[in-house]
Amino acid sequence: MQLEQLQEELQQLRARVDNLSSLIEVSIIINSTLDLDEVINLVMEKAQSVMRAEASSVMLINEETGMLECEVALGEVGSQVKEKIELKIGEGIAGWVAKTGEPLIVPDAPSDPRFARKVDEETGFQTKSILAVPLVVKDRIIGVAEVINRVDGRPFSEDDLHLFSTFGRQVALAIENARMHRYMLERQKLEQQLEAARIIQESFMPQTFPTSSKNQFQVFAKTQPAASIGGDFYDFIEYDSNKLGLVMGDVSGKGIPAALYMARLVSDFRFYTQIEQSVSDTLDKINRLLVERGRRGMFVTLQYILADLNSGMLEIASAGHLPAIHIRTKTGDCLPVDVEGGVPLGILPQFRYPTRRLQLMHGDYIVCLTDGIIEAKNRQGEQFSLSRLLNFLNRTWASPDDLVESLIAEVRHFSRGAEQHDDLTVLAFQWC
Amino acid sequence: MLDVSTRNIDKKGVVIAIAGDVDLYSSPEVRKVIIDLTNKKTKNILVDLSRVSYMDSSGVATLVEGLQQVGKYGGKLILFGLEASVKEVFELSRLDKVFEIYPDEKTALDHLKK
Repeated sequence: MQLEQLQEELQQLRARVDNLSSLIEVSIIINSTLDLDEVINLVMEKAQSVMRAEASSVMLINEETGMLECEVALGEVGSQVKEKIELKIGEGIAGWVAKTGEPLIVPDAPSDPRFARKVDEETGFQTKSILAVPLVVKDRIIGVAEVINRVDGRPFSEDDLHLFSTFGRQVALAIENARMHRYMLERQKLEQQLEAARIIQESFMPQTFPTSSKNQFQVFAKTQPAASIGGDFYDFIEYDSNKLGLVMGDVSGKGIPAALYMARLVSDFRFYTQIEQSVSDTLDKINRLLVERGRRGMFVTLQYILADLNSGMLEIASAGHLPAIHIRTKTGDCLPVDVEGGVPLGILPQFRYPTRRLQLMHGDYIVCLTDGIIEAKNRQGEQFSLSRLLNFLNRTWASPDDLVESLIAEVRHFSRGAEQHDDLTVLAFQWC
Repeated sequence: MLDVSTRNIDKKGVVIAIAGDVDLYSSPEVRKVIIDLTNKKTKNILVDLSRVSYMDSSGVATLVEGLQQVGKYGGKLILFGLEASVKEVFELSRLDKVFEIYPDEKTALDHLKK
C-alpha cells in the first residue's frame, strides 16, 4: 500500500517536472525567434503535446474589424480551420473567452449553448471537449488559445487549466515581443525611406549658385528639411548673362511621393524654360502637364520670378504661393509683393497665370520662402507669422547669405523645443 | 485622433463631418470616405470642417482629389464651416478660388437648392 502511494507520488512529481521542462522549452522557443507565425506554431505544438490534445488553435483579435481570426490551427483539420474560421467577439467558446477574459473548461462541447457548431460543420471535425484561455497583454485581451479533445477521451482538468494558462501567458508575451519587433522594423524602414526622400530632394536642388561676372546680383538659398521631408524646392534658370529665373515651390504632402513629384517637376521646369521664355506661358504649360499627370490630388504652390539683370526689372507670377518679400534698402521698408496670384499648379487645367512687374532699385532684396517659415510654431503653439517675418527682415543685410542663414536660425530659435513639421526654405536675391 | 462620419441629407447628397487635425497621417482616413462616395458617384458631397483646426497640404490634396473625381461625373464637392486657421490656408494658397466654400451647412444647402 505504502509502495503504491509512493509510486503515485513519484508519477505526479515526474509529470510536474515534465510540465516545468516544457515551460522552460517554451521560453527558449520564444527567445529563439521573432517571427510571429513561427513562434506561435512552435509554442502551440509544444502545448498540444504536453496537454495531450488532438488539436489546438490560437485566435487573435483583428483590431480593425474587431473579429477573432485564426492565427494558428494544429491538428488534422488545422489548415481548413485557419482558412475559414472567423468569429465575432462573444461567438462560440473562443468568442466567450475573448469577451469575458475568463479561462474555460468545456467538458462536453456539443451540449454547451455557447459552442459554435460552424467550425465542426465546415471541417467535419468532432469537437468533444475544449480548454480555452485568454491571451492578455497589459490588461488587454488580444486573443484566445485553445486545446481540443484530450487524446485519452477524458475532459480537461483544473490542473490542465492551470498549466495551459501558463502557456497562454507565454504565447501572449511572444506575440507582444514579435509585434514590437515588427513595429521597430517598420519604423526603421520608414526612416530609410525618408532618408531616400531627402537624398532625392537634395540631388535635385542646385549644387552651386549662379554668380555674376559684372557684379549685377548676388543670390543664395537654403532648405532645412523637416524630419518627415516636405516637398520644398528652389531652382535657378540661367538664360543668358542678362536674365535669371528664380523658382521656389512647395509640393503638397511629404516623404517619398512629394520628393519624387518635386524631382520630376524640377526637370520639367528646366526643360520648358528652355523652349518658352514667357513667365506666364511657362506656368500655363507646366500646369497643364501636372493636371494631366495628376495623381491623388497632388499639387504644387510655386513662385517664378524672371529678373532682367541690366534693368533690375522683375516679372513675377505666383501659383498659390506665399508672396515674395521686397526689402527696399534706400527707403528702409519691407513689404510683401502683391501679385494677382493664380491657384496652385496641377488643379485647374485652363487656368491662365497672370504676371506683374516690379522695379528693383540698386541694393534691394527680393526674398522667396515657403510656408514652413511663417507657420513654424513655438512651444506655446504660436506661429512665427508674416508680421514677425517682416519685422525681422526689415534691417540692413550684409549679403543674401547673411539674410538666409540669419532667418533660418531665427525661425529655429523661435520654435526650439517644438517639433519642426515642415521644411524651411528661403531664397534671397539682391540686385547690386 | 481624427473622427470622420457621414450623414445622408437626401437621395443625392451626403455630409462628411471631420473632427480633428487633417495631416499626412490622418488624411488617408478622409480619403477613404471621399473616394467611397465618389466611386458611388454621389452627386453632392458637403464637407463639414467646423471641427478641424489644422489641415496641412496632404489634407488639402485629399480634398483636391475629391473635387477632381466629382468633376468627372458632374457632381459637386463643397466645403463649409472652415475655422479661421484653415480658411487662411485656403486663402493664402488661393484654393478659395478652386473650392466652393460656405460659412455653414444651411448656406451650403441653400446654394445647392438654387
